[in-house]
Amino acid sequence: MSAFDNAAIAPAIGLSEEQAQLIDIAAGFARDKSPVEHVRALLTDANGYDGDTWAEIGELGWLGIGIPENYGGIGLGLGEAVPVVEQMGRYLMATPYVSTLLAAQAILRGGTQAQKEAWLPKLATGTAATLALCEAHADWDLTHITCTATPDGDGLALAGDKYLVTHARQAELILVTVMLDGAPALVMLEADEIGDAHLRAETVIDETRRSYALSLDGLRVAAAAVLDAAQISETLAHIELSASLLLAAEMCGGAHSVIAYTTDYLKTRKQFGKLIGSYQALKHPLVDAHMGYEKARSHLYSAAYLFGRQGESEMAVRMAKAEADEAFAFAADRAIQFHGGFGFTYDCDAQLYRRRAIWCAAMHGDARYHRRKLADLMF
Amino acid sequence: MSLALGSKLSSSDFYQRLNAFAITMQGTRAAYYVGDAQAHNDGVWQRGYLNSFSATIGGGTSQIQRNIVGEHVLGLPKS
Repeated sequence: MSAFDNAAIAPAIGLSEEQAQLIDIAAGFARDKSPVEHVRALLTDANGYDGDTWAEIGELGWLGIGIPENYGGIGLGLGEAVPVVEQMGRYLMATPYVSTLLAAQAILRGGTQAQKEAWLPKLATGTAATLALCEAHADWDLTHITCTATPDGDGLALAGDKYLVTHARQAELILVTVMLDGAPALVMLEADEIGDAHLRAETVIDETRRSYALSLDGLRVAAAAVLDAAQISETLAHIELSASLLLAAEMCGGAHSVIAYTTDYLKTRKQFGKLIGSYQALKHPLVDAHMGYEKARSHLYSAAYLFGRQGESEMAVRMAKAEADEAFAFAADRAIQFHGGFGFTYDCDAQLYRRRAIWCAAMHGDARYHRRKLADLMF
Repeated sequence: MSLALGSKLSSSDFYQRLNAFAITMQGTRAAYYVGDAQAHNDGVWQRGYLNSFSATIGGGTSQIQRNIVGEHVLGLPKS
């Protein structure tokens, strides 16, 4: 029997009270902190986000979502972070929020007791962290690792190059995947162990992001910096699904925004004597974009509801990522086209969303990748 | 008539789809842009895709092109 046959018959969707409250609070917060003029101003900022805003996110307790209270978190499941990430995505925010949540999930699932006690309370209250997973081969398989950690005295010598490490320069902790004794492993690197020479700022398509190439050659870590080897497979699988869930949330938020942006234009711009929204050639695809967004959002909140439940959540998360990928890409693509002569300029906001959609698709597998994985689960 | 009036529509549409498809073949490297050492083919596909809208919009949008072909080739009534 496949996972599909075993899936529950009852509809798997429901909004918890916490999620409902968080949607409203997060929407107000993001709208306040991140009007599009500010997003554009931050494009040339070294960090790409405001330290004050980041501190406030910590104070609101949102970094404690998914971290148990006994480790300094506020409890709840990662599904409760979905509305927060969705609203942040709606306003194109680009703080280390998602990367820090993911690092915390990795430590929670795969860390030693000492590592959990040392780091989770810090991550829950505003210490930025991130994951260094991508390599030159560009493979989405997190177990495809060529970087290495080799015993060297009482520690480990690292070697190889990581790419697309979001907020590496802004993070105090970076979790890196390496091969150790012929098997995948996660090791912790602290900011003060990495010289500036090991980080190179990258030029990426989504200008709101800050990502870095990390050269591991010459870096050493203590043996205690290795996460629990027995948990590595589960931890990497958990990272992939957690990241996919949160990326889907970010994409749904962005899709909503770009559709609203385009709808406003269609209701005000006149060409050939009529408001362009009256032309079915524009009206109908915009409706298609809206329906794609609604479907993606349903998948998102179903995945958020099921997240963490054995066997069911993987399918829901992969469906959510696949649908959000396509919905956001289509909506942003049509947004450029339907803004006409203004649309393909840098000044039109549509490009901010289209670039973000390409970025999100490139992270942790695009729609086609997730559908292939779904086929394996279903048949 | 169809080829003369439809060629801007087909070629600009094809160019857009070609570049978009090329982006999807790059795995995580789709995230790069022109100027990064890791960008595949120096980021030409990403830039090509973003620039492709100058052809699907400029010189008469693809939507207008469809009206032109519809009315002048197929003889469909004007809206």
